[in-house]
Amino acid sequence: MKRRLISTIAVIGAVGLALSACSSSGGSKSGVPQDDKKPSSLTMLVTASSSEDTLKKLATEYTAKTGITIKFDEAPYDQLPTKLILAKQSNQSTYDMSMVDGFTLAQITASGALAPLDSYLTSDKAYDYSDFPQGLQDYGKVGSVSYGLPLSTEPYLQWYRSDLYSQLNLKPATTWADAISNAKDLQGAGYDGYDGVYGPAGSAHYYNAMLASMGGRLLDPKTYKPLLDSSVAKQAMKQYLSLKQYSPDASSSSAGLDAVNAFSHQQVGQMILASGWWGTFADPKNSDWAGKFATAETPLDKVGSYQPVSSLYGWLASISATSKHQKAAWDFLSWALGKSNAETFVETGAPPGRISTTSNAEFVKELPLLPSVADAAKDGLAMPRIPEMAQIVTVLSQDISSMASGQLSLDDGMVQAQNDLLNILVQSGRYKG
Amino acid sequence: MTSTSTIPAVRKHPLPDRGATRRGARARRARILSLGYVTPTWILMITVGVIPTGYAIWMSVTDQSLTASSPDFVGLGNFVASVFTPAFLSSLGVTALFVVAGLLIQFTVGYLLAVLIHRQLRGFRIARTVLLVPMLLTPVVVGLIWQFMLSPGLGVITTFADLFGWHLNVFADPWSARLVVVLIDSWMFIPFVMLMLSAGMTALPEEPLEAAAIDGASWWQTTRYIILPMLRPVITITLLVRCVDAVRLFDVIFATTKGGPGTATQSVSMLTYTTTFQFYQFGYGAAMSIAVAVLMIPVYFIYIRLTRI
Repeated sequence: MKRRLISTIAVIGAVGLALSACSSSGGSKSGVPQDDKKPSSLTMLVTASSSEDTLKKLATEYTAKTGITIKFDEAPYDQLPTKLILAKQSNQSTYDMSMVDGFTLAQITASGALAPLDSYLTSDKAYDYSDFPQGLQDYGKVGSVSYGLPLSTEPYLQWYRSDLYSQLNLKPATTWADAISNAKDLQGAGYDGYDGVYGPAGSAHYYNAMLASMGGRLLDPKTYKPLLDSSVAKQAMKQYLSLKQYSPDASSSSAGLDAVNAFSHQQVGQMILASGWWGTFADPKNSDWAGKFATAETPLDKVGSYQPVSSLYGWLASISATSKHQKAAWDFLSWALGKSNAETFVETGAPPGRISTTSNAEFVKELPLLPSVADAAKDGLAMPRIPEMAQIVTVLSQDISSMASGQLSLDDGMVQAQNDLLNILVQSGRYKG
Repeated sequence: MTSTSTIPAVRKHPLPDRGATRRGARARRARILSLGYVTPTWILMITVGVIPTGYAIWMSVTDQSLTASSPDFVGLGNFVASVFTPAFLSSLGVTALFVVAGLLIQFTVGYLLAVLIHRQLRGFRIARTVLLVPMLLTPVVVGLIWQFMLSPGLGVITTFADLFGWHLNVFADPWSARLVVVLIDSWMFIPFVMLMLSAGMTALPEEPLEAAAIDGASWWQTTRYIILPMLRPVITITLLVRCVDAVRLFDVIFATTKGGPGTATQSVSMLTYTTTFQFYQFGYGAAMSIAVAVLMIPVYFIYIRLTRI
């Protein structure tokens, strides 16, 4: 009897210990002791992009210069935040640096996975942070703390097939009415007039770009109240959905990458997309229309009460909070993203939006979209820096997909989208109602 | 002096029976040995079963998220906030549809193929091997392949359909998207049903079938009144296994429709994945998983009873 009691207590104790071990492993907040010795290697979490290609080129040069090897751990785009957050939760120094998509920055920093960069930015004069417009400096911040260095600056631009536009005597659209008119003409000539994204994964980004360009916003910038019940939001959605009739059939279920593939290989006349895809479209290995496309500003219409602006996206480079070599990581990033390497980034089509880069005449000649990057870097609209944005984008994309596929009418869809966003923000306590 | 015979008093501490002592030691050794045999199994069960399940139950009553610093106990709050919601109920409906439609298709086609295999027509061995191939493929790969084949303007199936003026855009319509998911899942698992039923048929006694043939029973009568009743245990277990798999259906949806259009193909697994690994709301995700597990309890009971575990 006694022995059984002891065994039972032992088993319960073991299970309890295991459980507490599991739970405590997820919540460690201890700072990582820094190793001041020069590391033999640093690891950066990256995803397939022009930025990754450029960093890899520069890493070879950096290794030759310093003897520090830069290892790149490539992960699918969707998994970047998860990998970083899990590394932090398990307190593993798996990554020293990482690429971070701007709109996920707040979500990742909420877990404490990224190191603040302000002290480096202040002390490192060679990096020259003042060479970035204020809008771009804010792009890498959550609240007032900087967590990301501009790695690529990618405003949403109007992309069009210059050969088809010449053939049909069309001009790049300056308003959305022009864009629709061009779409009609292109479709009339047997081409796809537009390349929209209407699938359940990511269509919210494209709708948001149209909304911002019409003077609307997803959320009130101060209170975070969803603004999808505004007339401009509804008008933007109506216009966004109306462009589906000019888009390739596959756009009904497409995500951003599908739109890129369609523009690269099909007869698509125009689309709205982040500027960072220049390198892909300009490369004959990746695109059938290399040399036959051009860019222009996103069409702008003053419909809503806010300033119509382009949407600002782009990659940031961050330092992992669990890295034991944060100073060494900074040294690499500061050098790689410094002025002296601007040309390498320009060559691959997605440079950080330094003033000295976007105003350089030679660079502009090489990469004609740089003036657009300069404008967007100044006043482009980034997604709000709140941890709920990933959830908002997913849910809103599903609602857009429901409207595009006819499961919801425009009116019902907008009501549902507004309620969905309200639920998310009220539930998280972000919006007090 | 007279001698008197006395009955020796019973010893308070009798001498140990050496045989009994040996038997006791042997029994103790056997017990320790048997404990040694089952200990690895217990450790494994506790490690991969009890602890994760207990942890999931604990998470389901906390507001744990990967981005929050320390979780608080919220009682049944997660169940109220994430389980009894239109999104969850809708995904439950989608899952039920996939289960019912999938089982109907898989059983019907699987049974017919099993009959053909069982008849051992010429070339049946090759046919059986070829038919088993889909089951051996990775679900995500299968999903991606079908997604490419059905992609409008690019896919081989849609291009072929275009030749006949049939303009396919299956992922744009909610019902055709659901149908595609069910068909892909069925394409993968019909071989499993076929294999199980075919094995069951091989074990059936010949006499009742011969008697039915002599009595002039038709194919349908033989199937309805003899084969299906005799195959009932195999059929039930096969369908239960497939039912549990279908409730967990995720890979194919993830690779083909991403739950769309809208949320038309968003199953419970897909919703749980999104909640847990995209929104990092582990408390909500755990509550959803627990709710599904509770809903599946009757199925597990039937399964355990039938397999006499």
